[in-house]
Amino acid sequence: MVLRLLTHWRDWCGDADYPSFAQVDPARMAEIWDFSFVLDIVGREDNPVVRTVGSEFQKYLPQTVRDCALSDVPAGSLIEHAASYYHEIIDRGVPISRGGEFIKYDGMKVLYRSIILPMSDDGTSVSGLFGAANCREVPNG
Amino acid sequence: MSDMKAFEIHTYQSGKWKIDSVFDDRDLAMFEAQRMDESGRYTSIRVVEEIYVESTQETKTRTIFRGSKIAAANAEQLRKSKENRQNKGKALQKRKSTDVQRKKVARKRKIEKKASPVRLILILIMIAAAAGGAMYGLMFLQGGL
Repeated sequence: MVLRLLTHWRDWCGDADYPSFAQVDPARMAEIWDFSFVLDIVGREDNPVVRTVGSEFQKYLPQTVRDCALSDVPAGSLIEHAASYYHEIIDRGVPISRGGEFIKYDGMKVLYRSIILPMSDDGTSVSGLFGAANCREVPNG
Repeated sequence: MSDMKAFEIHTYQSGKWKIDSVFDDRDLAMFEAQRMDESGRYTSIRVVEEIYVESTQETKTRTIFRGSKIAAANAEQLRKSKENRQNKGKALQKRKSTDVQRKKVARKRKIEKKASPVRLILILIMIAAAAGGAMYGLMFLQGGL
């Protein structure tokens, strides 16, 4: 999924450095959209706000996090880990993918792979982040 | 403390390398780079491994994948260089052998040049000796009769 989203992102870019959120059509990428999230960084580079979270992604959260600052998302949730390196995307201006494992808020061990993509309103400066992650729970041991 | 690794996919665009994406997983980066390379959409692709050594606070980089176009270009360059070297070598050898041949001919001519007056003198001496002998013979015959 991470690579498929990266391919979409490159297509959206065209000749520009970054694509715009206006180019994202959830209907054309439903299987990815359900696992995605959007971070608003305008004026909040140090603590972005979660604007949307896909339905599948939400299953790994104990509560809704829409319009919630990243610093306030529940500990041990997928968004906490999948978005933890957002500042690197702002700094470097390139898509970055990370994976790992964490213990979920309910004690389950979760393996995940995420990606965060830089988005822009003007095509040249990063003004938002589009992320996605897939994961699976594995028995502790 | 462990070293941190990152795998950057670079694409060659407008005469310079540009970071396309960054992965923390080598296999994923290699898979994506190969896929991009095979798509034929990019002039060149490479994967650069970046290792940050915490103990020395140094970053080491090395290229771990070069797209087929770069590899082909490198191979072609290598072939051309080898061909040029071989051609140069052959030309040098040819010139050397021509030089040797020319020197031989020159030496021979020199010897011939040096030898020709000696031979002429020898011939003249032989003719003179023969003439003298003949005259002496005639005189001996006249005296004897």
